[in-house]
Amino acid sequence: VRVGIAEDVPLFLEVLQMQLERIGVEVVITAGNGDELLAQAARHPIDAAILDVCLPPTYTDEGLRAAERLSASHPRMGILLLSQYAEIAFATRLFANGSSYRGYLLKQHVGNAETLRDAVDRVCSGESVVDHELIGNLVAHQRHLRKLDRLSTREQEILALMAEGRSNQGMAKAVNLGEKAVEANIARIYAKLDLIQTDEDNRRVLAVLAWLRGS
Amino acid sequence: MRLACVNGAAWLGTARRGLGWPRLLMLYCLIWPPAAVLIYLAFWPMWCDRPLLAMGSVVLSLALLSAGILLLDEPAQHGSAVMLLCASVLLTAGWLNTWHAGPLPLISVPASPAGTILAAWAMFSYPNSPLGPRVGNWFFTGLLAFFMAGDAFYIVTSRPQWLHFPASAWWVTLFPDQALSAEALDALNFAGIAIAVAYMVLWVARWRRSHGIARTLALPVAVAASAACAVVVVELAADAAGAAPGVMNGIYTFEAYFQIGVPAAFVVSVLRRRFTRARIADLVLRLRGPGQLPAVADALQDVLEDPALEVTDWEPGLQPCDGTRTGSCPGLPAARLSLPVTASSGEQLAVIRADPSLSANDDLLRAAIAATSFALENAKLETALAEQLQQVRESRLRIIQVGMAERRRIERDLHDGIQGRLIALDILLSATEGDAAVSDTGTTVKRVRDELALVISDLREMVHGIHPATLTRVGLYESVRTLAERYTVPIDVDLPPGRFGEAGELTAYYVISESVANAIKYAKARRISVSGEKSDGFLRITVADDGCGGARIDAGTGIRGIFDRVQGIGGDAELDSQPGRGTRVTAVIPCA
Repeated sequence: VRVGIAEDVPLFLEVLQMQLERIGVEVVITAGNGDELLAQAARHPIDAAILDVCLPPTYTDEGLRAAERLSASHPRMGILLLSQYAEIAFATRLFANGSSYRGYLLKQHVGNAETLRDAVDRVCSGESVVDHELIGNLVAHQRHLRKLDRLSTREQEILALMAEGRSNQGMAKAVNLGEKAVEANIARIYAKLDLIQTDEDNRRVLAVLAWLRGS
Repeated sequence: MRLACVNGAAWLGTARRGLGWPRLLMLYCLIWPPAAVLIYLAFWPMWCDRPLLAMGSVVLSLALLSAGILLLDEPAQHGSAVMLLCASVLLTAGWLNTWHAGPLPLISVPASPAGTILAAWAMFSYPNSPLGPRVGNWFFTGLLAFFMAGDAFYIVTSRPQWLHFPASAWWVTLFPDQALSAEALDALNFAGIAIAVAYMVLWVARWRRSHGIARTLALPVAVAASAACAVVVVELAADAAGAAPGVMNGIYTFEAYFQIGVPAAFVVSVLRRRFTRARIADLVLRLRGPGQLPAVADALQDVLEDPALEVTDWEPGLQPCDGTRTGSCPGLPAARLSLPVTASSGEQLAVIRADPSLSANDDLLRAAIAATSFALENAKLETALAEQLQQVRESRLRIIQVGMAERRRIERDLHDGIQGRLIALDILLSATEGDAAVSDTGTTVKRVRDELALVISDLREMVHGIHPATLTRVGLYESVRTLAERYTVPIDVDLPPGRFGEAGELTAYYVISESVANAIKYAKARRISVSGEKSDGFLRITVADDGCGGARIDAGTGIRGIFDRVQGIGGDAELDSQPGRGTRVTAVIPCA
């Protein structure tokens, strides 16, 4: 797998590159900002781009905007946004035009080789990724509001996995169930939470996230 | 004619006050009962045969007395008041001849015309003599002298019996001549008629010339004076024609009742004047709020009945002129008064240009000026207050904005600079932990430690930027020296040692660090001097440089922030930055 990185903190860039190479990912582009990454990606084909959300010059959402431009020009390129902020709004903005090939990961989880590899693999294969810590927070919040009481423990587990952007197959593997059983669980969740059923995994993440955020 | 223009302030300062209601009431209680008894007794013989005339005369005398006392309370009307009081006494004395005994008939002969002349004089000089006080004085004194002389001549040429008095009555007969005395009496009567007619003509002329509020105020007295004159003329004519005693009695009775109108007119006039004063006082309430000069002018035009009245902004060098006596001011078109309106602080607020005839009612003018001054000063204060409030609001908003920008900067420094590097270090360490067999563990640890040292140094720098820790520990002087040592540009520090309170020191440090940063960053200064001195609870800080100058408060270089911070704690700042001549920031900071 060939990736490009846009990151402005040199030390972090270096560490990320090292980490990626350790899990067998080839880093072909390293850029200090979004424009640089875009320019280089035109010359060196990559499978995925990893961008920090906050990049110069504005340090607000430069990375997010660069990601939007990248996925517009390369619809099948995996995009993984990294952020220090546990801010779900960035994820919903990222998924606004479809969630396939897109992921949102907290920076502090990059150190976990397993998580990083999983995230890169999933965005490259067209799945979505939402940092499990963010989803954990949301689920805990909703549980606190007693909105998840109608769901069984298993269903709650499946709901969190859906929000993380996993496919049915991925979920089945994660919870040690058959795909049929997972599908049945999903159907029950949809019925209980009044979610509109969609076959597209694409839209599913956004809908579940929206429900979890309470809107 | 002499032009009398006096200093406005002095003129305004000589405010005359009346007696005030309590003292006036006391005066009434004191004078009225004994006077009423005396007057009643004076008419004792008349009550028996001519009760109607006695009644009318008693009421007239008491009414004159009351009007006189009331007039005592009016500003500048003491002359008229005293004359009315005297007229009351003399007119009563004029009827003492009904006693037919002792000196009383003798007294009554000159008392009657004297009382009438004094009443006429009082009316004529109310509220002020149109001919000037001196002309009036000469005229009426002459008149009085003429009639007194005439009556004296009449007395010395007559005997009491010829006037139907008993021979025992006191009389001064020097050379009795019945024909001569009768001719003297006729002459006096005809002179009286002529003078009464002339007096009436004078009143009509005066009435026609007057206008505005003066006319309104003089109207009742003018009407009463003219009417009274007409009756006097009838009386004198009837007397001269030798009318029967019954007819004369009827005329006297009618005259007594009719002339009650004179004191009544004074009362009406005084009340009307008080009403106008009350309306002017009311202006203070009506003229609240902004949009002043035209509103004030409108209100004054209305109350003072002067449609041409103007209220304009104060022009420097203007000569105040109240036009007293002359009715005109030099250099003003159409002879207008020019009255300065002064605030309590002595500041000139405006000028009222009014009709000269108003100078006759200077109590009203005074009230009008006071009301205007109140209204304008009030409006001025309100405007100033609103402006100040706006400034405070803006400054508060800027302080909040500066605070938020500062927090943003701190967040970014922490987030991008320090947190990101710490996360990277964590990842680096966890990677090393993952495979301990990796040969370069030593190198990684060295790397992590070097990075940590840098992060710690950055963190210290940043924290110092938020609040210089040295400030609270070692004070302003040492902190500024430390600040100066961080720069390569030479900075001379001359600050007083000692402590100045937390807010004062922090503000002073802020002023200095911002000014120094500006001097280096924008002005490219090669030498900077920081000096300060403490006096009277204020710390005066000056930061001067030899840079390019031309700094402006609103140029977004943080100078606005300096001003806001300093003004925010009750101090003030000053910027002197001519292009090419360096910059000097001075701040006066309240300190402990």
